[in-house]
Amino acid sequence: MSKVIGIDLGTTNCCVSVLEGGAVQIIPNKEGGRTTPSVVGFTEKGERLVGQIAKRQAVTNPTNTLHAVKRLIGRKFDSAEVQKMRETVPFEIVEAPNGDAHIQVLDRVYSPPEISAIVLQRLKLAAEEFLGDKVTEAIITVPAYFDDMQRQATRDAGKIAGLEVERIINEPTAAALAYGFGKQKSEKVAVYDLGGGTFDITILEINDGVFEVLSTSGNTFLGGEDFDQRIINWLVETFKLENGIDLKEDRLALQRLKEAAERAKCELSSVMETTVNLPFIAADSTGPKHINTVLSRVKFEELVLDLVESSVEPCQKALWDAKLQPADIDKVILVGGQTRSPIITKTVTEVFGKEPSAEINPDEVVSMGAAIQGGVLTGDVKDIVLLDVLPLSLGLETRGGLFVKLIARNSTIPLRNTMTFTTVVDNQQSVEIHILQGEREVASGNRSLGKFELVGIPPAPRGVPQIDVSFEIDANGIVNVSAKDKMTGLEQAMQITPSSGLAPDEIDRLIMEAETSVERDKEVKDLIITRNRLDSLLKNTRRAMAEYGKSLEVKQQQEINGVLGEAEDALSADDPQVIEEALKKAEEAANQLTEALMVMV
Amino acid sequence: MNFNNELENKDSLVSEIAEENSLSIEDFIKELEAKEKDLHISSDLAIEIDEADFDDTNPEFIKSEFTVEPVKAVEIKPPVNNLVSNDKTSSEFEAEVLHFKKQVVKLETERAELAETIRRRQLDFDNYKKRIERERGETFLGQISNLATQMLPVLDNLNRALDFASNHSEGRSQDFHQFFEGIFLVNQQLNEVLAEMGVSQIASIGEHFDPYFHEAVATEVSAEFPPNTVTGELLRGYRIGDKIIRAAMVKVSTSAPRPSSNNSSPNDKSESPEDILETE
Repeated sequence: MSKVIGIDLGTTNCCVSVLEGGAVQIIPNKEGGRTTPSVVGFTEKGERLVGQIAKRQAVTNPTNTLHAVKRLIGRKFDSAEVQKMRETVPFEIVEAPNGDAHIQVLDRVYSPPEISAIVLQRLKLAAEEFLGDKVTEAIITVPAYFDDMQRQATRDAGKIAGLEVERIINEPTAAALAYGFGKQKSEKVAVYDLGGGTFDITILEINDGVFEVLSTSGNTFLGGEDFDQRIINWLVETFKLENGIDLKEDRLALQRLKEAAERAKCELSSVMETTVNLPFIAADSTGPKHINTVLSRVKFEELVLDLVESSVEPCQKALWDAKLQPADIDKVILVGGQTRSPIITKTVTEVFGKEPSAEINPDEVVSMGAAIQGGVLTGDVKDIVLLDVLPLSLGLETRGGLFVKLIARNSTIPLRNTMTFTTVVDNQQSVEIHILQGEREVASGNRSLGKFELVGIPPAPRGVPQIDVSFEIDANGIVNVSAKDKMTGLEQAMQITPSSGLAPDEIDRLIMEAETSVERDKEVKDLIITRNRLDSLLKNTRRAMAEYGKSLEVKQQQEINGVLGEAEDALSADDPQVIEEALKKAEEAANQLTEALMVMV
Repeated sequence: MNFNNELENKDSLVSEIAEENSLSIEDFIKELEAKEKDLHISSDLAIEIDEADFDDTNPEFIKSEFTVEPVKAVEIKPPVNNLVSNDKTSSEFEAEVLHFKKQVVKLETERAELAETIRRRQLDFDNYKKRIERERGETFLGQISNLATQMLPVLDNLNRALDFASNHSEGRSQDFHQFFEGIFLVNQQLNEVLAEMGVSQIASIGEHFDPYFHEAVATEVSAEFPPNTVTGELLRGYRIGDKIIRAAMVKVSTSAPRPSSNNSSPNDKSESPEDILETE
């Protein structure tokens, strides 16, 4: 079995790692970064940019640069989350025929899994380069609250990227795995995850390899970027007060402030105060202005106090939902870069009554856990068994629109459960089996997975017929539901395959497309490079001709100018061969010119 | 991991068999030796694996595991021509043959597992070696680029100071000009040092905007430049060979105003385009 990579597919950043020689290795991307921004840019020339490179061109191409697509994956267009996102992002979110949220880019509509696949594909390539071997299998992490549809959509994204997703595991579970949980008998762990843009708190119970999510809570719009912004605002206001200049109007100044704020925040994690030193940040008639301010940890904590405090309530809610007291928690784990700030440690200690663990790099811990799970599957890790669990309960709609759970969430799968139902009116001849998934007591509050009817029940007073309804989930999450009238033996069944909203043939098509697009991306890039080379050669030779051309023979002048004219035309060509040839000719002409000039000198 | 255990198991099994039947055959030795070759088990490998994974630092131990012990395994199958001279009854023989056949299967399975483990370890190690080799080459560049990354903000500030001074030099004293010239030369010196280390500036103004080299922080409508061209450099970019130390922070021309790039203030939540800008 080849290597199984572990991928943390985050809202703002991704991280990929692999188990090698018994230790987890973080795989750096082409630019050398250990995490890759979850940003994809489409240029008008058909190039697809990923990560840092995509970020760099976001300003010039805002409508075709996509970020935070994780917020859309497996969601309906009219859901609150999608509608909220529509207000804040510059790209266009559209409704797909099946009601899903899709994204319009240039002249094409993409589903969120396709966009995630582009990022995954890049991570896969980085892993292949790192390992010197093909990589086809992966473990991908998702938030604990993701439902089957979102998980399936993530699985599809992997598939489109050419990865067989062996398991989808919860991010807090992965973090706990990285910390070595799952070996002892029974433990309760709280995972506090404050990432770039989202905050999640999850309480896990770990029992013989089953990582059970007891509760999860959070804030989908709270993250490390808010902390930076507070420092920036403080610097801007202080400067305005002292100098009367608003730095927010100066893009460069703002960018320098942003970097300085981030650096100051990081430094304050280890020292009590830091100096923000930004010389020549602005100038007015009285001369140049500098920022040279001391930011103490106390001041910083004052600036972000409300942000930190807003994470306390979800923690308490999670404890309440899990019916636990802080003292019941055996360990607290910190995830996400922002948790490096001492104020977070302090707050978490206050809430849970114990110091949190932060020995493992909080930006990488989730991906590392996924890699360990990969090791479990390949047999490299032998002392952990991680069982698959159902993330949300499955059940039926019954009388009065109530939801009856047949299989509770966190049940380990595969699993089968049967329950007996009856009719509600006399001589009822058919029953409707409406299958739903969720935790709400009211059926309409849960996600409908499908419905069918069992007809032909012999006339009988209400409450007499006995109808057995069985739910069976196999290891791949496929649910088989059957209803059987005990008296007649009449049976009706339905199979529910987890669906992300993409049909299987559509996925196959997208896989093909993704494979060819890697080559196409390279071709487009090569074309641009060649074209740029030709362009600069053309400019330089023209300049040289203008200056020294007159000293050449008329025939030679004509020849060179002719070649340059052809090269000019070739610049707008899309055929790499045409440009390549023009480049060759132009190079020859440039050489001729140089030689002629050398002779003259 | 439990690679060690597997070796020990094998060892004990081999000696177990050796005790039960002490017959040996030249052919079988050869066959086994040939298999050994197929598995590429050599003392070199043993040492490499030792370096990579074993806690035990004594390569002799591993050498003996691989080269001496398997030879004993030769004694698994009783030779056919010896069957005749044996006093045992045929049923006893059959039982014995069955027993050895089982042992062979067991050993073969173990051997396959071992081979697979070795293959994977070897692959891991080869990759590790390659990577270290590659990284060794990159370390030098990496160190220079780290140094440059730290130094660049200082250089930027020196440039800012010089720019300011040269724009405000009118009417200043002779002393000021001489001082300014001195500082200007210091700046030049610094640039030369960087150039000697292989650090070069990234061309920007008038170039086609390329996110591999440039980081756009603003757009503007330009009559002078065609669309998607760098119109202004806010911060110089640097590279060392193909490695970008810092992308140039630039303004880029657009064909038409893009209201969407300016519709949210930088104070907004993380989703506005300017907020997702960061330098590496």
